[in-house]
Amino acid sequence: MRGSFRLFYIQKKKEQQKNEQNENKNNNNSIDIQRNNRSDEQFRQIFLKSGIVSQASGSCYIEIEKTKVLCSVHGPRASHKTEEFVAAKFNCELKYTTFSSSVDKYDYTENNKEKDQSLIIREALIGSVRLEKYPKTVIDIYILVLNDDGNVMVASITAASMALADAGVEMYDMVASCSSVCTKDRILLDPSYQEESLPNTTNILVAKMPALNQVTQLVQSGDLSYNTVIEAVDLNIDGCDKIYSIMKQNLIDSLEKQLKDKDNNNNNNNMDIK
Amino acid sequence: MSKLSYISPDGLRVDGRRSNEIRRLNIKMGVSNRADGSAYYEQGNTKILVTVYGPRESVNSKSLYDRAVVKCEFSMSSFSTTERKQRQKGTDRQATEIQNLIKQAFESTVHVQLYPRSQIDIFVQVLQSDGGLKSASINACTLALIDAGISMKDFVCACNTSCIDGIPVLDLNNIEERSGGPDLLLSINPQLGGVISLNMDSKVQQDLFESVLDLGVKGCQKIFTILSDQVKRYSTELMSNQQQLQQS
Amino acid sequence: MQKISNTEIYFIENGINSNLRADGRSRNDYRHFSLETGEIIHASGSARLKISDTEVLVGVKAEIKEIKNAQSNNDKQQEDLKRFIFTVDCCQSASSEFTEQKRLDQYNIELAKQLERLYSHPSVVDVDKYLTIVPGKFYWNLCIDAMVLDSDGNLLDALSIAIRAALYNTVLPKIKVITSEYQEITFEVSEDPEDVISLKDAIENVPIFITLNQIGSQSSFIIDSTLQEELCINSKLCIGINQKSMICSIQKSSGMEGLEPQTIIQMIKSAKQIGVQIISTMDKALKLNP
Repeated sequence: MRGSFRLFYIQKKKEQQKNEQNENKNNNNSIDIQRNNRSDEQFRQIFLKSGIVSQASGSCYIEIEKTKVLCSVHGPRASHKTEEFVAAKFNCELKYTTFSSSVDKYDYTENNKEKDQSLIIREALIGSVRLEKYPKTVIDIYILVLNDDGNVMVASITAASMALADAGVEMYDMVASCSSVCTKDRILLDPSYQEESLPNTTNILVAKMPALNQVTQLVQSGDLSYNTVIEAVDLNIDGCDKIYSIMKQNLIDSLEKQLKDKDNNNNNNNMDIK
Repeated sequence: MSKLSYISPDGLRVDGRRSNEIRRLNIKMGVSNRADGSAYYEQGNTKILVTVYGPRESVNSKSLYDRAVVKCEFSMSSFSTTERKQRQKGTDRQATEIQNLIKQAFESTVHVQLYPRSQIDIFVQVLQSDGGLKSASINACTLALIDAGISMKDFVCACNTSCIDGIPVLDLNNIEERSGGPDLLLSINPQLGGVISLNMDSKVQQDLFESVLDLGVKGCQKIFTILSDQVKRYSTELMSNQQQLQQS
Repeated sequence: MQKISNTEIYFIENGINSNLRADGRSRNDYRHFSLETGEIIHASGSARLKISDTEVLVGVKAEIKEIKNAQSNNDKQQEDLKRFIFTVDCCQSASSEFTEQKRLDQYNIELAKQLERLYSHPSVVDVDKYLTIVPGKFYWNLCIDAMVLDSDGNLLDALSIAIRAALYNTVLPKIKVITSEYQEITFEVSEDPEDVISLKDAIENVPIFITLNQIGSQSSFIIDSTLQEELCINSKLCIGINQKSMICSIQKSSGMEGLEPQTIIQMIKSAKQIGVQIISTMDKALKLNP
C-alpha cells in the first residue's frame, strides 16, 4: 500500500519537474530574444557614487540596475614587512554577501570562486597604479558584492578604480572594463545573471586603460573561433570607452561637489570667526 | 576463498617473494638540478622523491647557535593511493608522524654541530604508495642527504618486518600491511651498529620477537649494501665526469 | 621571492628584441619536451611531462558521481554539471618561490582555476557519449590531480599538455547497470582489465594552453619562457587552443603592464598557429606509442 503510494508520488513529482524544466527552457529562450527591450550592445543604467564609506581612504558604490557592489580602498598605509621595500603591496579581496544571490550559496569564508575573481580584478588594476611611488606601504581593496545580477566583475573593477581615484592614489589612468556573453550568433554586452548562466555560451571580459590604449585584463572561457574573438574583443573595447566616459564624468562631478562643500565649510568657518 | 592466505604452502608471499626477501630497489640520485641534494627511490611499487636544501640560513630565525636544525616536510600526492584523498596540510596525522620520525633520525646522524645557525630542509614527496612508507622515506632521505654532501656519521637504513601466521616476514607491501599483524619498523646505523628507532604496532609473541627483530636487522643490512653500492657507483660517475671536464 | 638584477633584465630584453634567447632559441621556439604516459598504476590515466627542468606529473582518477534531485537548487545543479575536478599541487621544493605556504596555496588555486576555466566548457569532452552511465543520474567524474615536481618556467602550458596526454591515457572500466524492482540502481563493474573504454577518441577537442609573454618592447613576445625570463615579464597572455584552432580560453595574468589591442590580436594569431602545431605533433607521438 505504502509502496504504491510512494510510486504514485514519485511519478507525480517527475511530471512536475518535467513541466518546470519546460517552462525554464521557454523562459530562457524568450530572454535570449527579448533581452528586456535592450539591444545587444546596449548597457543597463549605471549609477555611481564615490566617497560613501567614511572610514576608508576612498570608496565607491556602483549599481548596474540590480547588480550592486560596494568597494573601499584602505591605504596606502604603512607596512612593517621588509619585502615591500621597493614598491607598495597591492591586495584585493572580493566577497559576496550571503544574501547576494538566490541561487549561489556563499558563507563567511572565502571560497575558491571569490579567490579567483579577486586575482582577476587585482591583475586588471595593478597595471594602472603607480606602486613605486609608495614604498613600504600596503594598499588594500575590499569589494563587497551586495546583489548579483550579472556583470559583477565589470562592476567590481569599475568601482575599485573609482575608489582608488577617490582615495587619491597616483595612477596612470583609470581602468574601465566591459564584459559580454557570446551565444552562437550574437554578442550580448553587459549580460544579466540569466544571460551569463545560459548554457553553451562564452564569457569575455576586457579591462582597459583608455588614455594609454592598453588592455590590462582579458579573460575568456569557452570556445570561439578566431574571428569571433577579435570581434568580441573589439566590441568590448568600445564598451570600455563608453564606461570610461561615465566614470570620468562622475569623477569630475564628485570632485566639484567636494570643492563646493569645502568652500561652504570655509565660508561657514569664516563666519564663525567673525 | 574465505580468507586471503598471505603465505602459500610453498612459502611464497602474495607478490611471489620469500619471507626474508625485500622488494626490488630502484634508485636514482641527483635527479633535481635546483636542489642541493635529491634522490628518487623505488621500493617495489612505493615511489618516493626526496629533495634536500641546505645547510642554509634559517628563515624564521629559529636557528640554534651551536648546531643545525633539521626540518622535514612530508606530503603525499592525491593519486598515490588507490582511493583518491585530498590531504590538508597540517591536519594529516600520518604526515606529522613521519616528519617527526625523519627529523629525529637525522638529527642524531647528521653532524649537526658542523653547521651552526643553519637549517637543513628535507622535502619528501610520495608519488605512489604501496606499503613501507616510513622505511622507504628514511632510506630515500639518507641518499638525498648524501647527494647534498652533508656530513653524516653513517647511513640510516630502515626496514619494516612483521609476523604473519607465525612466520617472520620482511618488507611488507600494502596488502600485507593490512593483514593486521604486528608492524615493526627498525632503523639502524649499519656501520656504527646503533639503533635509531624501533617502533612496533600491535603485539607479537615474546619468543617470536627476537627472530622478527633479527630479520629486521638483516633487512637493514641488505638495504645498506644496496644503498652503499649505489652511492659508490654514483660518486665514481661524478668523479669520472669531473676528470673528463678537466681533461677537455 | 626570486629576484633578478637590472643587468640581467637588460641582457634578456635585448636578446629577445633581436630574436635570440639565452639558450639559443628564437622567440617562437619551444623547448624539447618528453612525455611519458601510464606511469601511475593507482590512477585511471597519467602522464609525466618534462620540459628542460620543468617537470609535472598528472594523474586522472575516475569516480562515479550520483546526481541527487537537484531541481530545487540551481546551485547544486551547476556543481553537478562539472565533470572535471582540478587540483594543482606545487611541491615546496619545486621553486624557491613556493617556500611561503600562503603564496603557494594562492598559486595552486590560481593554476587550478585557470585549468578549470579551460576544460569546464561542455564542448571540450562529449559528456553524453563518454562520461554518462545512467543519463540524468550517474556520471563519471574525472578528478585531475596535477603535481609540479620541479619548475623552470612555463608551468601552465606544461600542465595543460600533460593533462591532455593523461586524458588520452585514461581508461574507464565498463559498467553494467542493473535496475532492481524498486528502481534502485546497482552497478556491476567489469573486472577484466582488457574490457575498458578508452578516452582516446574523446580528447579530440581538448585544448592546451599557449602562454605568450611580452618582454621588452610592446610588440615582442615569446613562448615557452624559462624561469629567468619569467622574472622580467611585462605582461602575460594565456590562450587555450584546440585542434580545430578554436580559442577556448584567454586570460591575462601576472603582469604589471597593459597590452595594446593590436599586440593582443597578434598574440592570439601566433598562439593559434603554435598551438595547432604542438597538438598535432603530440597526437602523432601518442598514437605511435600507446
